[in-house]
Amino acid sequence: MIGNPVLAASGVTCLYGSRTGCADVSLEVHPGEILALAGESGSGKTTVLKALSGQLKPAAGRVLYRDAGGAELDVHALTEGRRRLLMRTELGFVHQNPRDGLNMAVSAGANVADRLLSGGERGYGRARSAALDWLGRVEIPADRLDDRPGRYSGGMLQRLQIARNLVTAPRLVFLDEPTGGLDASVQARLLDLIRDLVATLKLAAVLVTHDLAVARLLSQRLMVMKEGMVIESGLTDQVLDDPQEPYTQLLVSSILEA
Amino acid sequence: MRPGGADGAGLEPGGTIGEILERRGRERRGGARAYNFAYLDEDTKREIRRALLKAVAVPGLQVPFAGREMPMPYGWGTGGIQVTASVIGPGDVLKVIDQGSDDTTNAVSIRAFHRALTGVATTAATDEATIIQTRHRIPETPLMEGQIMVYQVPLPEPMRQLEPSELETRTLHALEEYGTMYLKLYEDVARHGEIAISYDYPVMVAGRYAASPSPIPRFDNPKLDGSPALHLFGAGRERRVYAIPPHTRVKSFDFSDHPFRIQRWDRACAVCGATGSYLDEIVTDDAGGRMFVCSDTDHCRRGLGRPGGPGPPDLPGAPDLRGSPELPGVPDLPGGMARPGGGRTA
Repeated sequence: MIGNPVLAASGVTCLYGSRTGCADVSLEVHPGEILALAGESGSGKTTVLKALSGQLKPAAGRVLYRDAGGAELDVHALTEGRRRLLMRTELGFVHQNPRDGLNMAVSAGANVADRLLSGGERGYGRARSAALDWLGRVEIPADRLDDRPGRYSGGMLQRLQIARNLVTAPRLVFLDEPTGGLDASVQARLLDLIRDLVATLKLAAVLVTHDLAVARLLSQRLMVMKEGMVIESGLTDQVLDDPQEPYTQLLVSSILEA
Repeated sequence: MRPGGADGAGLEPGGTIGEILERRGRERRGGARAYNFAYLDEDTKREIRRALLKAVAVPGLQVPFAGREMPMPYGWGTGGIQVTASVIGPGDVLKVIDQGSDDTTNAVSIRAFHRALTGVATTAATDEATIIQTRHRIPETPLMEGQIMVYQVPLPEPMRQLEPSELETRTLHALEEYGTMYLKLYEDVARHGEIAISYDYPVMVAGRYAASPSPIPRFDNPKLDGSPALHLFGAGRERRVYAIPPHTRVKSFDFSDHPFRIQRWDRACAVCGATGSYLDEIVTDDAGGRMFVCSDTDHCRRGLGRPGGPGPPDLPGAPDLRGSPELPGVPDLPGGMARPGGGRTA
């Protein structure tokens, strides 16, 4: 890869007491690239994502983020205030359950405007038109702007969560099973949407999924995890078409033929 | 009239700790007084004053204090009463209002409580008082240097409605992350076309801490900005005190395109003719009759807001809804606050 990675992790190890969450994970994410972490439940994918996004302090290893100004920041050495600021400006986190990432007590519009208002936007009109614009971009009808998210369907909730994250034009987004729990047709539309947004916004993303079809559709590179370790990595097509490890072969062979 | 100042706030006469302890011991052994001055014992008052000092030093910061059980339920002003009891001294002149009125049940009861347990002089006149304990209003008469406003606060946390976790709200305060405050305003404008918070309108204190001004109408918010008086807020149930020291910048949260506005009325007070004061709507009969009168009874009674200058209300035929101009005499603790038996000091 040419140029500097936007995110670089080296030797990240996370422990839950005496149990290992993930061991010695190193990776790089470059601007405009989607990196997928695949593996079965309990393989440590989400642990890695939490460590990368600063929510979980690793027992060993470093996570470096290159900010918009080009400065290299150690995500876990930042003050809490600085880290939270990054999380609501240059970074985004899309939870598997949209209710974890949304404020269910306020309207959809307020959910999207939230990051702008936190970032110092003091004009109601500007915040509202940005919210309206983003609702349109994630294909939510404008007349649902003032509805509480509780009245949205599952697919709409997930799109709303994506809009909420992207409104501040982040540079790097963490996606934790963004299509989990959605039915196949809604999943397909959501994947299309994510692919479009990522391409037009030149986003970098780390995608966690157990669904190799999602990984194939969205990501350029793929890392396969098992028992907290990365067992195989490479270009997505290469890994999926010619898996080397027996476990990866098992995963690939378990995909239903479309 | 210049207020006497809160000198000797809360301290018994006769200075050193040794002397105080000795005297208290004497009282316990069947001495003169059944209760300590101002109900709370000196150590409790000292602890609350310590919290208040910190609150004054960091304007708008909610400071925890060891709130005591008071002889009345939470929600009846236990926070304000503890603050008043901690700062009051024998030379103080106390005014207590509830909804701007000196004569409502709560105001009468709380005033009686303090008078019975301190013996201080009480007044209805804002400009004679050194301590004004209040719920819902800041008097219309401009406050002066040396005066202390004491607020009874039900919910000290301005972000509680949108953020139920105390840990999180404390973090938000510490990191000065006040996006949540604007979220609340956004919802209001989206729903009602304007910021519809009519009371307890959140403010930014000294450009640093978001604070709840307690349930005063937003009409009173501008009175906090740069006020020469000391404003002390006590929340009994939540065990928090906070303060707005004299001459502190207090700004109400708003949007640049939906600026903060106070309530206005297109009429004058029906009793005293005051314009520009906060008016209560009073239903006068079953046929839809209503009148608007000053909520601040002292202001109204003395006609301080009349366009022609101060003077008693003289509108012909105006019903006197405001009771007698003298404060009703309240002999002792009201029935609901019976003294516990025995002669023990609290």
